[in-house]
Amino acid sequence: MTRHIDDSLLQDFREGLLDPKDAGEVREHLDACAQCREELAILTELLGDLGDLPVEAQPSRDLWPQIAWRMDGVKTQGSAPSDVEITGAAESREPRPVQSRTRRRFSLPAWQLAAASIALMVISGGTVWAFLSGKTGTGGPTGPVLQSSAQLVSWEEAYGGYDQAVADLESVLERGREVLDPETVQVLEENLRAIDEAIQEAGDALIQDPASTVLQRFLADNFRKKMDLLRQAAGAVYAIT
Amino acid sequence: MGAVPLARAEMAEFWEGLSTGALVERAQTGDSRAFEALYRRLVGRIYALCLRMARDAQRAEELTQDVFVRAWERLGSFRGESQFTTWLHRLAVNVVLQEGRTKGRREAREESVADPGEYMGRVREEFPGTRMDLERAIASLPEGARAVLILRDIYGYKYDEIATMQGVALGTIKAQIHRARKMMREKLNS
Repeated sequence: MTRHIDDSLLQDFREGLLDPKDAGEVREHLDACAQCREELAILTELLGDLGDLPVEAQPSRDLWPQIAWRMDGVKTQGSAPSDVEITGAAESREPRPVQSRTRRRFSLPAWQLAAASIALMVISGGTVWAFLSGKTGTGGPTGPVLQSSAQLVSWEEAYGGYDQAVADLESVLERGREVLDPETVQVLEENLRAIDEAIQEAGDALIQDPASTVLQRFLADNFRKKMDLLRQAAGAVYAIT
Repeated sequence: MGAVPLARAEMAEFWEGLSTGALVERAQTGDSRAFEALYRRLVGRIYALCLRMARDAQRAEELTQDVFVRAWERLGSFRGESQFTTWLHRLAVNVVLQEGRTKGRREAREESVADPGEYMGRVREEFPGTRMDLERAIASLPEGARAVLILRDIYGYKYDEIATMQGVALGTIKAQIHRARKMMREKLNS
């Protein structure tokens, strides 16, 4: 080999892709050619530098909530339409006529979908009796249903039972309205109203900024607060009836 | 008595303790929590790949979402012949390239970054300590050459793996990488 080594051949040599005969010829040439040795050194340095580049980077926000929405959409495609349309990168860039666009529609409102991936820590109540102590005339939780353990459930697991649980607890509270101190009922109602307003506001805000993890946490926190409060109230009702 | 419920920290530890293979198996049964754990484990690599290929942080985030949603849709087709990470990377490459083709803007994007200043700023932020001269040179490569260079020289995939990922002939991949490296050297010297 008398001419300088072809660039592609040099790369293959560097990566050990040549058969022994060709590799031998290249090696022989390199022994005699400073310019090709220099080229090989530059290539080696480049490959080393590229190999040292970082292979991970974190997105500026948590992408999981939106991914979870869309995963949920995969499962629920074809269900009743709602006001939510979620698009991926491939669908979100260029305007197309609405009639020809493939829409992904979901049956849940946007703020519920936003919470779809939140692992909700549902904490059973029954310990915060100070709120009601003195009003109920009881010394502690004697009601049959309360637990003090913490339970982690996914939103999908939790949400299905959430509405029903709230309805059940509200029904207990309604029944207990006559036996609870009116002042206690008033405090309870004010607190529930404040929490409901917070839930509504968070839901509305999530429609505008569905990826916001801050809003999602805020929403989940308020769901939890409402559940806790209702459980405390139900516990009080059970305790005195 | 039912299973003792686990608190959040314990659950996170539980998922982190599982191998990627075990998480994939669970996710294939429809367990979205296992899939979320896979996402947490691999999002950094997929996002970095999308970012370098798309050269636009916002698009890279959208593409990363697309990759994981598509992975969830197609998880049943993963048979374990390759590493799950390789399978996911292949999906990512296809999603990025397909998005470019769908837009019909591939040629327009080949030689230029939409907003070089913005992109390089994000690279500096998201790859702390990286070699900016190299990143700039990579960003200036044509799409095909860039993809192959990233997969081969940064992620260390073999040529035949890249050929399989992209569904093109081995010779084409080699030609692209030769060209990409040559261009890199020229750009770094200029």
